[in-house]
Amino acid sequence: MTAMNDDDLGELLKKLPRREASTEFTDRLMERLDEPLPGPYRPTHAPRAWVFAGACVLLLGAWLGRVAFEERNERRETAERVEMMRDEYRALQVELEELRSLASEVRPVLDLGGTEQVDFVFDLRRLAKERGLARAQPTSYSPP
Amino acid sequence: MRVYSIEMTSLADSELVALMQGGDRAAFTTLVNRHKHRLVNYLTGMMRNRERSEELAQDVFLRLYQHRDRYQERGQFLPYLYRIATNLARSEERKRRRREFLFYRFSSNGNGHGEPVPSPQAELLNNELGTRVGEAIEALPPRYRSPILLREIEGWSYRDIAAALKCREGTVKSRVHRGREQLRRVLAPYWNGGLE
Repeated sequence: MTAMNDDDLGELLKKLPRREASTEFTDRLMERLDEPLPGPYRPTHAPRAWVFAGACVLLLGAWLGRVAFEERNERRETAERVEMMRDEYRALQVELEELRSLASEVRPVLDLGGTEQVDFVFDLRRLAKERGLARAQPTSYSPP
Repeated sequence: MRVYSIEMTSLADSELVALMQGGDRAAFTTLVNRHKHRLVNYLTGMMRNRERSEELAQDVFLRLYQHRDRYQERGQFLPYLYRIATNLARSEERKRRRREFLFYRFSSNGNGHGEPVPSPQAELLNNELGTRVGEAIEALPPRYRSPILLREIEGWSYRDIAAALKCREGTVKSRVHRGREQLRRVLAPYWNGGLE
């Protein structure tokens, strides 16, 4: 078996039957020639395919717009929540600082009563200092 | 009238075109009768629908007549005529592909036509080899199909094909070569060293 070369192919193609124009070809052509020429193209209606494609594009655009709008809203709400939490954190920090400063100002004293003019208080720190008492130790404490 | 007709058929294309440009319908008719069979055969090779190829050939001649003032005589009438035909065939092919693309999913049988597209050569030939050759030509991309048909079937020179397709001779040679390669590759399994 030999491989097909250009001559073989050419011969094969030339043997294809030739298609001829129909017998009424020229008459029909002349009839068409006598028909009035169509005026400038004015689309009376858009082809259905284009209408369908346009509707698809509009729907897609509307859907994308809605998704973008929702995403933007969600981002804004999240940012607002984060800002509120930060405000609350800052307020708690301030309150904590105030409590700390208040706690540092409180002296360990025992209120003994008094008169309109004088308050009698017993300073426990002085007592501890005079008696050489250390700070209270938990019962489970064992010195090294 | 008969004498007039005989005179017309003896005129060259360039003379007939000159008469046609002056509005002579008899000259136009003579041109149509002279070239219609070859043009229909060429378009049948280019198109997938034999009825449509005849309508398209009519469109080619109509366009030639309606825009007769655009043609400038340079001894290139046939390439000019086939350039119109090739452009119309390509435009038709693009439309068909668009239709197929748009309606592929909505069509009942999926080919966008409602009916399977018969091979023009397959309709003309009954033997298997002829069917295969027709299918192989149809399978060629239009840029190869057109030069192959003009070269191998119509027997045109590379120069005339280049003028008809508005490209360089080298490009035509390259496309014919590649078209032949593709045809040989497709037809090789059915080739047994001769035509059967």
